Amino acid sequence: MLDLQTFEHLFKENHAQCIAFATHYTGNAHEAEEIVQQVFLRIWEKRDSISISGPVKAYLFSAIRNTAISQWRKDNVRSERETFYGTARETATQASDQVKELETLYHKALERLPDRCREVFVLSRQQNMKYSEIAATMNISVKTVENQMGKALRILHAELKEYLPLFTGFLF
Amino acid sequence: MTPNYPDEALYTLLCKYLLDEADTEERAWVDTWLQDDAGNAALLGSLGKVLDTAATHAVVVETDTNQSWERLYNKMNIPAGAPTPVAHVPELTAVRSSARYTLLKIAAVVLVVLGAGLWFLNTRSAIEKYAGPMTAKLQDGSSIELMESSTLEVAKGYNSSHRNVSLQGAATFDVAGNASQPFVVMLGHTEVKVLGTRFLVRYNPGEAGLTVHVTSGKVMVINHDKADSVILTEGMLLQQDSKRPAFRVTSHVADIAKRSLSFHDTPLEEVLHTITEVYDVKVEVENISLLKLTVNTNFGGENIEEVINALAMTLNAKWEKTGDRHYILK
Repeated sequence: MLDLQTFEHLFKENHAQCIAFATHYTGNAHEAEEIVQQVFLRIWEKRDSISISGPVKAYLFSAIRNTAISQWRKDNVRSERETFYGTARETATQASDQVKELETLYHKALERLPDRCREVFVLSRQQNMKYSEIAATMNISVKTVENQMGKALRILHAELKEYLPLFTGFLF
Repeated sequence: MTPNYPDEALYTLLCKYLLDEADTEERAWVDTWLQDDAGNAALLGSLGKVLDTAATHAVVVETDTNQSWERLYNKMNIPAGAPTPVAHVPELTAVRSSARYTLLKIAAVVLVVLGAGLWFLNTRSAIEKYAGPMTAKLQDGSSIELMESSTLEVAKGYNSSHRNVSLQGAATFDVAGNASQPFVVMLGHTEVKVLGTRFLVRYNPGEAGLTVHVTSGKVMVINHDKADSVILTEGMLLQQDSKRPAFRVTSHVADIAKRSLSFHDTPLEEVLHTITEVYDVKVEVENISLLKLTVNTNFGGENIEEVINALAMTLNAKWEKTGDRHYILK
């Protein structure tokens, strides 16, 4: 059974990463925080019966993803969302016009990817997750991850290749 | 310019190669392929640039793990005597994401009516307590007008690490805007998180259940017991009670106290949903073709029979009362 000390360690050890991960799905840190709180509270409430098999991070990410998607579906019914996974964009930096244009190009290309394809790609590139971690989180096979990454790369390359010379040294 | 290849399998393999996911055999194949044609190396370089571009897209989000732990701890029902969490300096975490909301700065007016069973005193960390009738001025400039027999507790760390308060009774809130720190009214395992700058809260002990109504702006209501949350926008009404613990949400409510409803080209089905929730009645539609019609009307405090009658007249339909709080449109 999970004791308080172990649980606190589990939370503090993974909180920042969980928020970063959840933010990809919620579009903002406040909702990400709520999702992460829900997931950890559920773990605590089920501490007598819960058994985490495999890597803890994959378990947490998978729970966060499921909660976030379920939340998103409910919110879609109840009220119009301002954004959805991987498509909202607002840069934190004061970017030049050219950088903003390139950023827009990148995001438009990303938006055109099929949902699952985009999710796999974003988890790989923006969360720096290994194929096996993505597969465990999304409950799909590694082979599917490979194929979706190949598909994403082909589409994005076709969309962006003319502008790639301008992307040299480009930081969003 | 680099060429495109129709074969997706090639991109899959090159992607694995670039991300160090390829096995020995696959790496050997790509190394040989690179020797075949100078254009191949150009393609690989170009694909690498796409992957790098995506990976450099990062923003920084501030997280405060210790404050989050404290919030979680408060919800965990830990018995007194257990070790308590300590305050800590916030840490900055790089989040490789583009998804960021602009926090709402619009005014929010919220009416919250709560059942007595939902009251929760956060005694562990509360340091300031106010009892009405009075106007409490908080550190961030927020002003809370407490009605008689009402109490407000302001948790430790208010305005530095959070803006959480607990209320029992009735109060009008005028909250100072702070996009980075939402104002949270804690109600047992339910929270009302205000994503705006001005709102009204009223809590009436003795009434079972929870009602949240948003006149303007946007709030988030979170039920930690049910792991449920919902964002309410202007004109939306949320209700919950012990018999029906799930959040019930409807819209078109301009003022819940006055039962002021506003419908503009609203499908009848939606109108009836609102009326059902606001008046706590059941309305059946015998003639299904009526459901295709839309309604353009406003109500302002009429009783349920006046509302049903007006609705029937608008739709050129008839109505009948078939039981206690039960009506049929035909």
